[in-house]
Amino acid sequence: MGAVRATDEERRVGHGEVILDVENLVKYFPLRRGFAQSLKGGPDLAVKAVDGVTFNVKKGELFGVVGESGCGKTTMGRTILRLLEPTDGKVVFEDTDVTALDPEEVKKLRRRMQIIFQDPYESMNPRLDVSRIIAEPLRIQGIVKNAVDARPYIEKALEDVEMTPPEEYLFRYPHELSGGQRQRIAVARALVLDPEFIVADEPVSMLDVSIRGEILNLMLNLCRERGVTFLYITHDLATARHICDRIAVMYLGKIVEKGPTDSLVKHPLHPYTRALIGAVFVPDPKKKGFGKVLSGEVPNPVNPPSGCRLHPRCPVCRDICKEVEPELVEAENNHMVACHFALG
Amino acid sequence: MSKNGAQNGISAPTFWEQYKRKPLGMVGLFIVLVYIFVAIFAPFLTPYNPKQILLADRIAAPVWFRSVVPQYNDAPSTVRTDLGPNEWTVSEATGGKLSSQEQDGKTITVIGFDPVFSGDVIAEGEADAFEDSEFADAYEKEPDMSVVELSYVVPYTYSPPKTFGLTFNYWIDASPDSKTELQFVIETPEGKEFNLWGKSYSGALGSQPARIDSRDLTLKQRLGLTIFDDPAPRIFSSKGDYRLVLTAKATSGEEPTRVCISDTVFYIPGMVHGVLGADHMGADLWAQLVYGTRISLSIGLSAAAISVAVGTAVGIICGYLGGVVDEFMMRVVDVLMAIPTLPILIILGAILGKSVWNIVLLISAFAWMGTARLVRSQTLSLRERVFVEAAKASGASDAYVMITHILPNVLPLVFAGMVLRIPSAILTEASLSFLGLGDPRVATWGRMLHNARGFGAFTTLAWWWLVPPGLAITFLSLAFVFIGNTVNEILNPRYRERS
Amino acid sequence: MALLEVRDLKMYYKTLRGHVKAVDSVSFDIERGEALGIAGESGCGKSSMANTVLRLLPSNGKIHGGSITLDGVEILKLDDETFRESIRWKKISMVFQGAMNALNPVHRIGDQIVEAILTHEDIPHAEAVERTEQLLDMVGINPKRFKEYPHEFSGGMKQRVVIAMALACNPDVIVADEPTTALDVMVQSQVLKAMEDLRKRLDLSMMLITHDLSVIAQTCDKIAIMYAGKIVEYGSVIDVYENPTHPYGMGLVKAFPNIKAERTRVRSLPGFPPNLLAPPEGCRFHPRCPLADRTCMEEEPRLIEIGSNSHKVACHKVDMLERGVDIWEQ
Repeated sequence: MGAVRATDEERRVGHGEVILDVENLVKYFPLRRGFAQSLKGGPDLAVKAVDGVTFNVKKGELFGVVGESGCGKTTMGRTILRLLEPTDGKVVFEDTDVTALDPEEVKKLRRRMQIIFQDPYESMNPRLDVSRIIAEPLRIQGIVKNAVDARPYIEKALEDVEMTPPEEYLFRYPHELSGGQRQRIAVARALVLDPEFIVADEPVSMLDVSIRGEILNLMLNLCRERGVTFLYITHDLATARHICDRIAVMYLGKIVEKGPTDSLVKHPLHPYTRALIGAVFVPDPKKKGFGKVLSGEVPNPVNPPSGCRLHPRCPVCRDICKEVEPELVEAENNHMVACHFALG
Repeated sequence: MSKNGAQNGISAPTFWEQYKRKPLGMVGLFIVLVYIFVAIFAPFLTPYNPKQILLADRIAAPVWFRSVVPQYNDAPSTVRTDLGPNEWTVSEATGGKLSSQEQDGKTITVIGFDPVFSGDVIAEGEADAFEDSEFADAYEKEPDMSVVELSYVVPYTYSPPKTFGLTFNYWIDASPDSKTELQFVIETPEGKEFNLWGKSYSGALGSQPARIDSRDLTLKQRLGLTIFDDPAPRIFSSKGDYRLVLTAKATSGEEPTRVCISDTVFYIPGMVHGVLGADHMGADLWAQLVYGTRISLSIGLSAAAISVAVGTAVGIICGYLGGVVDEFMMRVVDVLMAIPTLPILIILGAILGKSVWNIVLLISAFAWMGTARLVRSQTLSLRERVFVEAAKASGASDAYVMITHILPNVLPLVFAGMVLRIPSAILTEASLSFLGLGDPRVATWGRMLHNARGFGAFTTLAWWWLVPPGLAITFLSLAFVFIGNTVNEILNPRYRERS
Repeated sequence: MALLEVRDLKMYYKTLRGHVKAVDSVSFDIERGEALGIAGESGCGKSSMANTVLRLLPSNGKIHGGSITLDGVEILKLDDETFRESIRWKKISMVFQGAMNALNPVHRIGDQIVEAILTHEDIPHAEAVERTEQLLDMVGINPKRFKEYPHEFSGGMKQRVVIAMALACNPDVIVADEPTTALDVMVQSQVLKAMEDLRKRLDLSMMLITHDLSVIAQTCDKIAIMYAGKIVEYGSVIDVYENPTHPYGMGLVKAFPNIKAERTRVRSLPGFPPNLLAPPEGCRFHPRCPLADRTCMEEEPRLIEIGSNSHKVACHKVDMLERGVDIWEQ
């Protein structure tokens, strides 16, 4: 554990060991065409949910992926875990090429990579009790054969998520628990296989503000103390700002900016990031005033705009933006941005 | 708030709590329990077996008609006597005696006549010597026959019956030179004798059946009646003790003559019988109704269970796997659903043969499609649920997800569907049986109706034959519908009232 | 006198297991042109209160007392018919969470607004159309889109249509229940901005119900924090955000992450809200409160004014809290 425990500063400057390397990941969802449409011919249409995403996550890091709904962040999380088959690109987890694994190997990979879902009301089978929910991954992976064997693992997982004493919760059903408790159970389920990497997909967006902190701090503790690497997917830049080491901002299936949290939040380089930060309300009545946000809404990902995808909404758009797609380039120390005019 | 939680998991005690509050559901449950009770305790509810025939006259009325319908006041109950050696009284015996013998598990009445020892011995040497003597005449004459007369008293206290019958088998072991005469006579209380049957034989005789039926033409002639007369009312015209007399006469040869009689049954079919009367074969209708409960319940339950099991399996597999399998199976479902079921069942029933299990399989084969569609659509939404993805994220196989996550969540839907499918299976079986495609060996309600229609219940207005199976089917179906709807209301939120 | 005065309002839901005290003795004022934000966790009764004011209660929800005066008129005493005809839409109108999905997909946007106007006001059709075009313009929708259908609009645009509809009859008060919760941050910002501009222009009063304290901070003048059916802290947004004094209010304000602040540990309030079928005795917050003592368990605290500017708090430990102790320091 000591080996993976790096200081915040080390992580921020990116000296940590890479645990996850995502290279040009693409995921299209083909649209089913009607009979008449297929007669007419024309190119096959697809929702370009994730369209060439490249980034890496370092060991023991809390990496945030931020974007509005429909930007492809959830699809990307699922594709990294091979819960969805990628259309193209490569995901390398430590030394394993996740995209090239056969189903049996994917099953083994599940012990090392786990996921926490958004909706704690939906992510648990209402007919199973807590002990069976948490034991499920163990049983599937063949680690335990029966409930008795599973018990120590379950109790440890419950203790890890600070639900003590475990006996009190073992035989409760999800509907008997509060939202925060359910989400802790969801974290416990992800932890029971002792994974190195967890994708947390909007883990707090369904929870009340008053208890979001519990889950976020739980993640932070697991990350700092147990060296679990997190990919925190969220639409909420404010929470990401407080727990993430690095943040990537996605727009229409692409990463437009990524970098260390402080640098990204304090000096956003991409117009979209700036607008996103401007749109976040501040819980301070003295700093009233609506930030500058972009006009219009996110275009249809079936037909994303040419060139820079933000150009129809961008306040600094010029001709080049309409034609040439900007590359993600390093603008400052580890701070990358995909904009022709970011530096100006 | 916790809307999701309330909609999903529902524990057994909670289910019962809610079920108890629904009056219709409770009525349905009560009715079904009564039927189950009847099915289990059928042997204690009726002394008869539904297959036993000739228990009474054809289309006999229920016995309680005697006290309700005036013309049935004195109507005869069935008189049926098995006459063995112990029942007979020997009223005359010269040179012979009654004995019994066990053969093939039956008790056989044996009338044994002594052999003519002296005569034989003397005749051997002295017949010629006395050829012309006065004794010779005596020898030329028929020798005196030994006689054994058996009688049995039948008390008869009803109005005259429509028919009666007497059946037995007999055979004679004797030497070829012997002679035997047999005769059956009924003596009325007034002392009048009716000579029903008589035969004489020389020598031995193999087993012969004797079937005396009051409707036989030969009997009518023998009694000196016209073919339009009915012997039964004439003979049993008054109330009192009737005597059945069997007379055997024999002159034995060298061997002793033995007249053997078995399976002797004297039978006056009753015009009233049992709780619900009798059918065209004289079988007990109450027994058929009671035993029919077993068949109908088991056909209903097993056909519903099989069809729902098949439908659930197909639905889950199609819904979860999707793709070609789904496309193909759903087209099969469309085709099967478009086929009118009853005609197909009639044809297949005729081809496959009439057995209860064939019927169950046929009904199931054409009843799973609805469940399959319902389960498939439910599965389509369940497979997108996050907990399924969570299981997959732990490496779960398709089979695991289907069994652990999809199945328990479609079960409530399926369960209510199954309860509602029972009455339709019962009705389909009844329709098939009614059309004569049922299993002829088992009494089902449909078969009862089929027989009632085919053998004159309508023309004789024998409502006690028609109405009970009809009501039994109706109430059982209705009870299951009540239960099914109640279960649906509780388990399937679409139907649930807001409280 | 305030435009909308709510006094001691009680609304209970009758269920099989007893009364759910969703709104229990709630009092507040909204002046003309003022915006009151009502904040609280889910299940604290804030939406129930909006529905009570609008009298949009399900059949098992019953008002058990209190008064609501609008412009000096006691509207609780009005019968349903009068209330529907002369108050709802005309005086008090509403925008709900996900209301955009309530638009009828087979009718044109404009016609739906015209329809809403004509059912409440006896004016010629042409005038209604003219007003509809003005309304669309006001909420930032090109009036040329009058003839389009709901599916041609994005979520944010539909929510604007719903706001235009709410404004159709020139109401005095608008009740907005989580109006932007289902929207993305950027769209939320656009919609709220449009709403704020309108409110200022038309001098509208607003009751904004949301769990999002930052929305209240940006759009409201006053805030009422509800917990388990009761208001526990009430005052101007400046007072409450600067100096939250109820332990719950303090926890809630501090739990809200601020993107502009330096990186800190995200706060939370341990525990969860009580079941309103059987709320705790005494102060309803006591099972979660680090300061709770015997008094808190036995005696229900009253909402009392502290300091100036009608900043009110319902807590027995006010004295201790006024000194600015951070009781949630972990």
